[in-house]
Amino acid sequence: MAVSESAIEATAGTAPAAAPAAALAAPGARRFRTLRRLLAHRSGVLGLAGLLLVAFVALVGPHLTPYDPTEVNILEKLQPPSAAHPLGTDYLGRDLLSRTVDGAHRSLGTAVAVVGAVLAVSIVFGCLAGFAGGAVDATIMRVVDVKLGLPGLVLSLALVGTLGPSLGTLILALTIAQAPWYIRLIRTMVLRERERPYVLVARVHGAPPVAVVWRHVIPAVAGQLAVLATLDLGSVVLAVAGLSFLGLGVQPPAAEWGAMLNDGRITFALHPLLMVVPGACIFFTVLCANLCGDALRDVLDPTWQRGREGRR
Amino acid sequence: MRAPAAGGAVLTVRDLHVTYAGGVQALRGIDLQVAPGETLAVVGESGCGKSTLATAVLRLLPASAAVRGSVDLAGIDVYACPPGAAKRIRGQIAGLVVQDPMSAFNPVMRVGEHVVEARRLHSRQAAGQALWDWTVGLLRELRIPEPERRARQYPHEWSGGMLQRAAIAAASVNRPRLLLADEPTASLDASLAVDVVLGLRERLHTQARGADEAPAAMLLITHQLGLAAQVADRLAVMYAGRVVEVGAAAAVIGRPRHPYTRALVAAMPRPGAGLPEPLEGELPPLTPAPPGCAFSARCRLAQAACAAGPPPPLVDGVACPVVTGAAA
Repeated sequence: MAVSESAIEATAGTAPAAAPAAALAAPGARRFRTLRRLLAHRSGVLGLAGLLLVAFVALVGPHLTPYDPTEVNILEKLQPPSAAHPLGTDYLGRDLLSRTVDGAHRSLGTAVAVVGAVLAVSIVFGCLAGFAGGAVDATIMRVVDVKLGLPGLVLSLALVGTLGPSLGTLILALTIAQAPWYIRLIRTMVLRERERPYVLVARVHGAPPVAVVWRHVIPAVAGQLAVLATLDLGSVVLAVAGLSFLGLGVQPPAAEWGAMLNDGRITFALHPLLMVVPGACIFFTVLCANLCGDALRDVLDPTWQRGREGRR
Repeated sequence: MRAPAAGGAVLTVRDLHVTYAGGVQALRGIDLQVAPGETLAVVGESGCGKSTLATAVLRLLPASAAVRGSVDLAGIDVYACPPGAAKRIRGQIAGLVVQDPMSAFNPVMRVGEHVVEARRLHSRQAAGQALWDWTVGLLRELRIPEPERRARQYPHEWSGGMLQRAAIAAASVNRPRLLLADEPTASLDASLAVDVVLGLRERLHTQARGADEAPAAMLLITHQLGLAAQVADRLAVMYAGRVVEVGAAAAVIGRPRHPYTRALVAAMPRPGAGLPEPLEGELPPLTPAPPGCAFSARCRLAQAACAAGPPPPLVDGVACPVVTGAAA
């Protein structure tokens, strides 16, 4: 041995406090490396910057809006852009800029919460079904099959009917509607990964199933999941808008981009900004999320090299 | 050559039968012993059950496979022990080196992290600089150039030969009593193959904790008879899920007795032995296995009785009544 056993054990024993810090430093700090690679990715930087901008607006914006986003002023309804109202007003005379800024945290926050909840639920159940197999797999997948047989909208209506319309119910309904697709997909990915020789080797080294899933299976599928989740972020923003339109989600007079689209629909021919502004916000958020997803897929793949975007 | 000691054998396989869900009888009554420090090579054509044997020893067969017989690994009955003991078997008592080094490493984990992980699973040592330094030292010992930099690289940045050495390091890091090497050199150049396996053997032998501890044994699964001849103490020749000949490597290669072993040796290119003679025919289907000697359909010495009755047992290290003179 170049480094004797006793020496290592002695070192580990005498400096236990130093170990966690060293652990981060020693293997080259993978997290920072991923961030560095993301910052070296051209479209990734654009997407990240756009999402950070939307997130900043969502967090800080509501405190800086020039008007109360819910304040009705019929006398100033459907005003064109002016110095007082930079983006004009809607059919109730509410300031469009204030409503757009105020709607950011509901639209983005809800979408992020739904995608996060869907990922958490489906990673747990997808990995469990794929790795445990047998009765566990059969039980989880039959429940998923039953859910996939039910139309999402009907289930959402039933949930809202039982629990009452609110943002929380909306997140729950969308999570339940989306998760089964993800569970099925993740299970398939896990079934493929669990047969890889490196998973077999990890098991032979004595790694317990949870460690095998955590250290080998999830990192291997993370790139594909990142693309899927960011693509879905866009469709969830639209789904939130759709359900809000049906009165199942964000309740009036609260501002939300999807609900604003619906509000602007009636007067679109004469006042297109009422739909264009929230529509452009949704488009920008979805675009940035997709750019980030593509970049994440690249940087989570160790074989990716800087400057190779779009050449595959 | 080390003779297998019945009492102190690291691995004892008794009458092991494995039948897969489709009815394929992959193993049909295997009896093997591996003594401490011994290298036993299991050779045979593709599909003869070599890899199933390695998987069965580690209890890693699919749940749908039916297993009969017993596998004793360092005193633990692999198929009767509780899950806790099974975990101890993996990594601490037995290690595994697989065929393709590229696929044996998780592509999104650094090479050094694989060795660290293998070590941490069986020691109370915390992940930290000390363990990382130890891993780098281990790679240096295995003659990996620039180990500090190399340990931080991903598997695709390493060559096959270097990766196989790292795989060996990870498999032997907890000093297993038995190392299973399943075609460890299949994807390497011939010039590297012997080097890698001899390095592996040397590593197992130098790892012993002291004079009182026996060196680790190796079960080498290979279809390369030449490699087996160079590195193994003993050789077991498998055909259609059964061992047909077993003995000292030099004796089996130098004076093969079973007609199948003779055919394998004749098919092996050797200096001064003329052109290799290819072995005609194919392995018989094992769903179910044919009665009698499974090799009888391809055998030049076959007699009418060979294709009937139960498969011939090993007598004096060879499973052929025609050769041993036991045939009526």
